[in-house]
Amino acid sequence: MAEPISFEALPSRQYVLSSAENFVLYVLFEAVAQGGLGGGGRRLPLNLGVVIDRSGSMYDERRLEFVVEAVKFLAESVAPEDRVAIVAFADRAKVIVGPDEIHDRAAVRRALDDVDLLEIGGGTQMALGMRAAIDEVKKNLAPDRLNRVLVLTDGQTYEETACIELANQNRDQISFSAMGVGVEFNEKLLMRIAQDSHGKYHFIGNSAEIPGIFDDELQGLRAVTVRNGRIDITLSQGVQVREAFRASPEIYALGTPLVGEDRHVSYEIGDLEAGVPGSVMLTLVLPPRKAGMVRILQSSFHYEIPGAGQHEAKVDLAVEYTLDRTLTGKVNGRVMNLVDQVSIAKMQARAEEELKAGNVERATRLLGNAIQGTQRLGNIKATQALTGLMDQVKKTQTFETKAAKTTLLQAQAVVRKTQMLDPEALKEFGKPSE
Amino acid sequence: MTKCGECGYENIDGLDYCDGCGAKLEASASAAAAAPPAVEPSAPPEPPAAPSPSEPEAPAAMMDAPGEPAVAAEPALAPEPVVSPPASDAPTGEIKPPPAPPAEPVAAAMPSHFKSKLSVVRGGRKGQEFPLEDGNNLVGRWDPETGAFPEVDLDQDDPEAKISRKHALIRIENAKITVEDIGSLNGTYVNRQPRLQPGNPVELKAGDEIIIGKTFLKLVVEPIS
Repeated sequence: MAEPISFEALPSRQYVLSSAENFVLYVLFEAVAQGGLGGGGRRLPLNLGVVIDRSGSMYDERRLEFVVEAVKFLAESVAPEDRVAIVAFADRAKVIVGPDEIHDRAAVRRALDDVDLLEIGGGTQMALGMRAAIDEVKKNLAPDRLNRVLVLTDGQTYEETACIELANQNRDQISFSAMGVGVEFNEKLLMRIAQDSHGKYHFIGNSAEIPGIFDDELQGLRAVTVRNGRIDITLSQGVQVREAFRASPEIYALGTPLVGEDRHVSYEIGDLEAGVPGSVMLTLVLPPRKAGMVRILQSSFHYEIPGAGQHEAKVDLAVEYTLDRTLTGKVNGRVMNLVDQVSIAKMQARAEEELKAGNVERATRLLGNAIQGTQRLGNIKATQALTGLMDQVKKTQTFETKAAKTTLLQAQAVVRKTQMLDPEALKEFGKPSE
Repeated sequence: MTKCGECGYENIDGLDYCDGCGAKLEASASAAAAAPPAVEPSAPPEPPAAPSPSEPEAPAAMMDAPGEPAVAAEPALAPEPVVSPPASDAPTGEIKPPPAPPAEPVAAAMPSHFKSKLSVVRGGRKGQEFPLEDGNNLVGRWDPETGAFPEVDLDQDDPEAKISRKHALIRIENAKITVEDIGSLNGTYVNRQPRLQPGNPVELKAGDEIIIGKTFLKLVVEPIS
């Protein structure tokens, strides 16, 4: 069997400056599961719980209609070994389709058409919906199934802590994907639930996108060939982690890790879809050293191939300290491209914080620099989204209005998404620039 | 150091974007390539002299992963020139950084006579106080093995050992209080600003919050009349 994955630790520079001062080095840890059918991958049966918000606001903009359409489509495309439960919630939660009933298409259609008639109130008790779905998924829990809960909501829930706890308590067995429709929902809550459990977070600005996003989610699940990936890193003496980011397929901060005395840090990256890189970007601070080759870290990637057990791939990383600034000027284009994307996402998030704190000037400055970054990358979509955001900030100086919130959520969605996932393009960029 | 052309913030070499304002640091390590490289030599390759007292974790090197330090022939670790700034060997053409990051400058006026203390406010024995003396106050964890006898001993506050044995130095001198990270593993943070750069003392003012490991400390200053 061919190698089921590739795992690399790529530094932004092969040469670092030997001086009396610290030096920053970015390192991209990237795992890619090799392509679908032949590469040892086989499609895993699904074990899903779909959670539908049926609060009053879901009737706005025909949201519920689109959800029902999307879920009907899902039901049509399930394979015989798949299990899918459907739960609706408002003030109460109700299982409208049990995991074994999903293959009875007529019954599923009836249940979905009658979702209007359920007497479950009109509020948004998302935790109740999540709990009911978790219970259903647990009935068929198995390590060789893709156990996931999909939550779709358009509102603020009353019990955010309960939602986060539910996701965290079950994250070892079940991942959670969260879809937010409109602008009323709490994107921070949905992001957190998804990121903590290695699911996905989707922002749906327009109800008509609902079926497409459901489909993306399913395609993604069906492409999973490697499970429970974890990157372990042991830093050499004197090397520090300044920042850590998830870099693909989506960009988000992992927080600065507290490194123990064993100099070990560990990042879970969840399941990998064939051909889609899963990566973590670390900003390291290297200590001053004299010229010469030095190993700065050892890393390994642990993962599971369903039906073929646990595997490990190891990579050590060495860089050369030099006094020659023409050498330290050489950077790895692909790594720097991701560094740029991560930095832009970071600036966008910082601008958001600054604006919240009332620092309009700092927020606009950060956004201005983020826009310059997207322009340099030639990312037209992100440039437009951030420019729109900048206009909003200048005009209203807040993200509280509906228009501003929409622009913000759109900008977040564009900036968060790692561009350039085409494996061919990635190969091109892998070559160090001269 | 790489100075940001837009806001003047002093960034660590190799950084891509300014920590202060987010501007792209075009200069970083590459632009300097234009400078004559010949003037470089005296800089760092001094022999790793006697183990500097400032490098706290040095003894741990022995316990590191097998074959740890180098790929080619390279001594275990060049001691970080932290506590005593190597005045003479600053690389040519690089400006010595000002002591404090310009984030929130201008320390509040300090009384000329005062006594001060650090008080644990979170992540540890809340309310525990450490009076600060004139001169150097070491912050760290008590460890006779490595000769770490900190004035501010956070051993009891840090069961997970996230604080280095010799973590930071608080210095009281000429009615000024500064804090300096002396090469800690997990860094020192003042008022939740970016991590302090080791060897760069930063001035503190009354009420500042210092985060070390998972312990939050507050600087309390009381004037003496």
